[in-house]
Amino acid sequence: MSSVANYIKRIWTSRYFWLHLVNADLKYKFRRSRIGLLWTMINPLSLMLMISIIFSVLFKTPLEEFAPYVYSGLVVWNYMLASTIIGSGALISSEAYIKQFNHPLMIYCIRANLVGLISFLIEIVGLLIWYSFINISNVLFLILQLFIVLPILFLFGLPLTIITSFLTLRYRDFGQLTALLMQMIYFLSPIFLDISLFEQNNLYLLLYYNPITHLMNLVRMPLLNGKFICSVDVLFSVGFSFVLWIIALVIIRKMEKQSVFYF
Amino acid sequence: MSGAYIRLEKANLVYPSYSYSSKSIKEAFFNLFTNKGKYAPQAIHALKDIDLYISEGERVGVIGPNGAGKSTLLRLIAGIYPPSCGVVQVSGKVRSLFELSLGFEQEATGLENIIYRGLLLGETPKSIRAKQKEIIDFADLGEFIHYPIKTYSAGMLVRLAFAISTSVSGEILIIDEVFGAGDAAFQQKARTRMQSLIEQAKIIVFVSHDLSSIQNICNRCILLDNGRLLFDGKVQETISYYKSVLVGR
Repeated sequence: MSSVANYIKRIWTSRYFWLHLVNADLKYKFRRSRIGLLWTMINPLSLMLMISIIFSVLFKTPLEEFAPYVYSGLVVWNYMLASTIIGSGALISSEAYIKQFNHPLMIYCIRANLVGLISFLIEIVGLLIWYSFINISNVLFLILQLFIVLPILFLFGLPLTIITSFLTLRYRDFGQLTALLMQMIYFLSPIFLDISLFEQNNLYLLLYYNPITHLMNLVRMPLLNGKFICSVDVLFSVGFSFVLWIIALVIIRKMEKQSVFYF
Repeated sequence: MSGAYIRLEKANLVYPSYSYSSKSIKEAFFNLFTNKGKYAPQAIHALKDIDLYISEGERVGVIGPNGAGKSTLLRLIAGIYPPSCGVVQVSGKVRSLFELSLGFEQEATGLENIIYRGLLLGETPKSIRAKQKEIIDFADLGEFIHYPIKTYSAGMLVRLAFAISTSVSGEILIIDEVFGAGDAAFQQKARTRMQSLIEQAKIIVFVSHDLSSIQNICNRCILLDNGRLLFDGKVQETISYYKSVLVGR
């Protein structure tokens, strides 16, 4: 137990360092282009436009209902991608630091994940600005609940980054496997497909045992329906995170010390 | 926790064979079916049964031929490599000066990199800001300090790196050959600065091939060869042993 406490303490004492890394990553991400921050919003915005227009024609769903549904799904999905596919390189890209300093390796996972989470926030702001023209009260409602939603997302995303980045360090092609897996999950999640579509076709199990569904509901419930986040969604997300954390901690315990030899 | 010390007891370090081979799932999978040829990399036993105790006030030089395990020993003490077996105990705040110019942000300016590296070395934002001016003065890069690092020449980069790395002291100082930075004028400055850093530290472990700087700095010297501790004693004794046994080999 004391080794866990010690590990957390070491993460805390190196906080200035990894917070600065996050800061530098964000700066770098936005420095290269003139519109910087805007790019982060344009990506899901343009994808949403494309998907919404096609689907509203195909399924005859009203665009103004469908578009926010797609955008909110994409925003959560982008964070999942940041946690897994982008996050899988978190340790490999920190080689120079790992070989020189004896910091706990989890800080490099936290770094990668926080950058993803902040991008999520920026994308969400894009959504909120646009949606406040449609339904301002729901927007305020979501902002209030973000204080619960964000920690839940982070609690879910961080162990994913830990698992993928440690395994990618050990097996360099694990990243490709992750990409393949995420592509499959993409089509099995209600990102742009309406939930009713899953229900009609007896794909209940796929929908309800998929943690992505519940994570997306955390954003969609307040924004689209003006309701409080549902306890089932919270319980499911937190429960699933718990399992991920156990795997992540086992991996850290087994691999952390040897990791320096994998470069 | 009284005083700084380094204690190694029967410390061994083996670079496992997987650090050279089988880096993918695909390879690992096919290796199940194929015989690894006789050229498959073997684990390397880099440090063998090292017993070493360094107490406060000692300045230990580490010498030996290439591949003797000198740098590995430093990284073991710094906590970057875990011992494969044996005991490694270090009490005191460790500061290591390895590859100086690693970990710079190419896009950021020199000024930003000072903060950045300072935090990397364990400073707080407040304490590094206090040292910022002194570092700028020492590096003496003129207006280049406001330019991105990628515009720097190799020499300028080394000067900045040296200025930052040596501005933060520690109880245990671990140095892996950092001299030879910049032009002649800067080298003189660098030497004086190293000297004061060395005076502040309680323990120094210093790897170098330059025997004269070992003689200048150290009051104890160990000789490594092929992963074993061959000789441990006064600087002059160790150096003459080294010359008689290994150099003529």
